[in-house]
Amino acid sequence: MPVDPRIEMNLQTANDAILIATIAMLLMAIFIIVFVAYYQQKQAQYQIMVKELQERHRQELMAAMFRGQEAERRRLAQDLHDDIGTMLSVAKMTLNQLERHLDRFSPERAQAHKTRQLLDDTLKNVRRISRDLVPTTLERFGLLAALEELVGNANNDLISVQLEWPEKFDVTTPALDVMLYRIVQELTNNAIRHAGATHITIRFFIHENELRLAVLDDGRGFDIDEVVQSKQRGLGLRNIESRLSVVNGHVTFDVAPGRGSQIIVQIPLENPKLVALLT
Amino acid sequence: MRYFTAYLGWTLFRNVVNVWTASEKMNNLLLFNIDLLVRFTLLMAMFYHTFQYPNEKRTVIILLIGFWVLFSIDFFLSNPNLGDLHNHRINRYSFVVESVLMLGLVLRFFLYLVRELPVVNLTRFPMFWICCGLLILHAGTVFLTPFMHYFNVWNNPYNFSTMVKIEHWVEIIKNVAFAIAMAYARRSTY
Repeated sequence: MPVDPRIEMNLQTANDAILIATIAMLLMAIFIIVFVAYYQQKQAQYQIMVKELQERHRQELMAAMFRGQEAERRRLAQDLHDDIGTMLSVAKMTLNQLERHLDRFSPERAQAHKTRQLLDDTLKNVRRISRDLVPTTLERFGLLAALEELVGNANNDLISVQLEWPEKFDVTTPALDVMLYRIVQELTNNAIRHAGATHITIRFFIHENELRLAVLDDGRGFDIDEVVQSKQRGLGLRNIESRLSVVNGHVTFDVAPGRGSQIIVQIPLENPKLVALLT
Repeated sequence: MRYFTAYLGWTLFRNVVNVWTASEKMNNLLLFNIDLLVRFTLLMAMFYHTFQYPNEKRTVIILLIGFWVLFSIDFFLSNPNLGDLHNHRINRYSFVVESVLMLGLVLRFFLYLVRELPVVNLTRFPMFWICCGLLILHAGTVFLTPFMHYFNVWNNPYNFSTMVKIEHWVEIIKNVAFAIAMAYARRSTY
């Protein structure tokens, strides 16, 4: 059937117009797709950067908090040792002099003797608290010596604590030493006080550019979920996690009620900047 | 992805039946018409599950019901006699409405993608590729479909070859985008 030339022409014009509109729509669609992909990528990168900055800021805050904590402990230990310790020593000396002037078998001398013994005990306690607050051995002789001292103090007739230290182990810094010491102190205390462990092993080793610390005990274990939910009991474990978060480290608890525990701390060693935050 | 897979399955079924009816010289007008309703419903179900907010889900349901109503009216108006293979016009308005709605939903989804950043790597996100395919297809056919469906009958004296070519090209691009989407959906690494 032949088509009217005028209709044919109008149809051709309409055809061209629709083609142009279609091409314009397609170009717009392509532009939208490219824009969405590009913009989303940019936004995602920006979000990642913001998250990294927030994480860095959080780490710096945590590090500052631990630095402040250590400084406060040091001040407290110094006050205890220098002020209270000195005053107790002076009191003890004065009591000694007084004791000498009293009659040997008088009840007053016995009272004075008893008071001197109490003062002796108090002095010992003040020294112990002061030493626990700031491990001077750690500052003077390093982590190994401090841990040996810690193990020595913990060992007795009922409790045996072992320290396994590799021959070549010079990866830590003073700041990291303090952190590791505090973690070992917390875990050992937990094993003795709460788990009732009689054998504790503290093991240090390097594994794939990672410093690892394992604390193993034969205690009665605990329910990790219950402890973490408990505000009071989970404080020590949360403190360990907080300390480790500064250096991107993490802790794994292989624990359950009724059996011994294995707690493994992992600290990556490839980022010295994070460790420097603690200093 | 469940509804999208169903959509692909339906498309395969429709194409196979089309080839078979064409080879047997059977009337497949009903299938052509129903295809629009089925594919639109499946794609709307996909969007319903993709959108996060209740008001968006509600809008999808309202649009779907509205489309069913429009389709029913359009179906009876456009096809007074389904047996007349030579003078029928497949749903004149529903195709255009489908394209406009799909463009709107895809653009809404893109807005959600750039505003809320639900995925880190967009180029590995299957739904992004599905929407790219739908956007290209409907942007390429939104002006063509009314023109073709108004004029196109069996004994057509006019030449629509360029339009048909464009339609085929955007179909091919859509299928490539859908293939990429399926490939990434299998890996699920976005």
